Amino acid sequence: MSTDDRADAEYTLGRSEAVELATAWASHRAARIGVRILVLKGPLAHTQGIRAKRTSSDVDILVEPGRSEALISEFGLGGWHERFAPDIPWLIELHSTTLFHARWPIDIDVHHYWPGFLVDRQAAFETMWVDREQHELAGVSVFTPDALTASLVLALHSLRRPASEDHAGDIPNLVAKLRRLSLDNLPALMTDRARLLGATQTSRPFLVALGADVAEELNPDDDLRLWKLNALARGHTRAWAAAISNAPLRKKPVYLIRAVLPSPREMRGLHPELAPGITGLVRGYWRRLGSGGRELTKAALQWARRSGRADV
Amino acid sequence: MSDARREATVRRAPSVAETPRDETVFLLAMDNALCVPVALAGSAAAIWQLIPTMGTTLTHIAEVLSSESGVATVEITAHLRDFVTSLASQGLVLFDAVD
Repeated sequence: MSTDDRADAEYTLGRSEAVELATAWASHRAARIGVRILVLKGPLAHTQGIRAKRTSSDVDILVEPGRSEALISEFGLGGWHERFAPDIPWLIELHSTTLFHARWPIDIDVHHYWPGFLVDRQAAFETMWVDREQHELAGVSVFTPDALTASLVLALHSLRRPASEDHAGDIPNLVAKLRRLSLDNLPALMTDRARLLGATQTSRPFLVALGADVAEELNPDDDLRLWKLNALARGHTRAWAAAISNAPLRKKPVYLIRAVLPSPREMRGLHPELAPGITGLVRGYWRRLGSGGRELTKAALQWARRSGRADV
Repeated sequence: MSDARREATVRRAPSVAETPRDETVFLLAMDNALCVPVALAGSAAAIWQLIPTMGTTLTHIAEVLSSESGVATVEITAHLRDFVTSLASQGLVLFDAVD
């Protein structure tokens, strides 16, 4: 390393420091405009003793219902802007807006709600807010849910897409961490909190691993059914299948074409690994035509069976 | 009234987030229009550590630096004033004028 390289490294903002500063900044600016936010996951999960220390690649915040627009607008004044997100269907309503800043090595994810908490979103936020904890990051006070709710947040994050993302080991690790905290009646406490948040079924694998006795709901409502379907999904095929299935007959072909052949911009958003230039795009479309068509047909049939629809 | 008592004091701005890494300190003035962090290392970080939240004079900071480095206070003062002024322009410190 040359002297200049050393100087650059010395002054380069690493992700660890960036997460602390951006969390502090987001909390300060939210408070300044009177918007309540809770910091989720990140270094505070380690502080609370529920997750091993790791460097986060973004800041996750949950904003009180109805105030996302005001908050994102405030963050925009500081240079944080929305990252491109492909306009594609989701089994579970899109739950966050990702913001980036040209001078920062991390993103800020503004969550409008936390998937898996199936009670009314205002009620969920109030439950999380009432039991919040105050911590200090970069010398600034920030709020985060208490260890019980924070554990459910982590568990649901892992259980939302266990098939598509590398979350193997998350739940056992979380349970092991919680047991080290030696909280009395932990399974009962956690189940009670999950009940308040409408998460006894969505977080059931976690609660059971913790030692709680939670029976499986055999007649799930729509929200729970979609949660389960989403948990089984690997990509977006099932979401597209649901959208096609629910679309009016005349619009089904449009959805089908968009599913298999998204616009070049969406294609790059969906597959950032594609090589630059036209060659990368063509390869991406070719691969999508090959696997996507087959998967879509299979998923559409599964969706129809699970939802009891016969018009696919 | 002595010169020292007439001198303006400098203090950290109230809304500054701060986090260290090794010998570097990363700062963020949270009320600035743009959200851009500042990195201070070496003597710049040392000076930052000498600026309290309650305020002190540049003379006092220069005297501390002089005693630590052996460089004459008068030599330090001009550079110190420029540096702290740049911190003020970035919203990291405030000067409090005396009556």
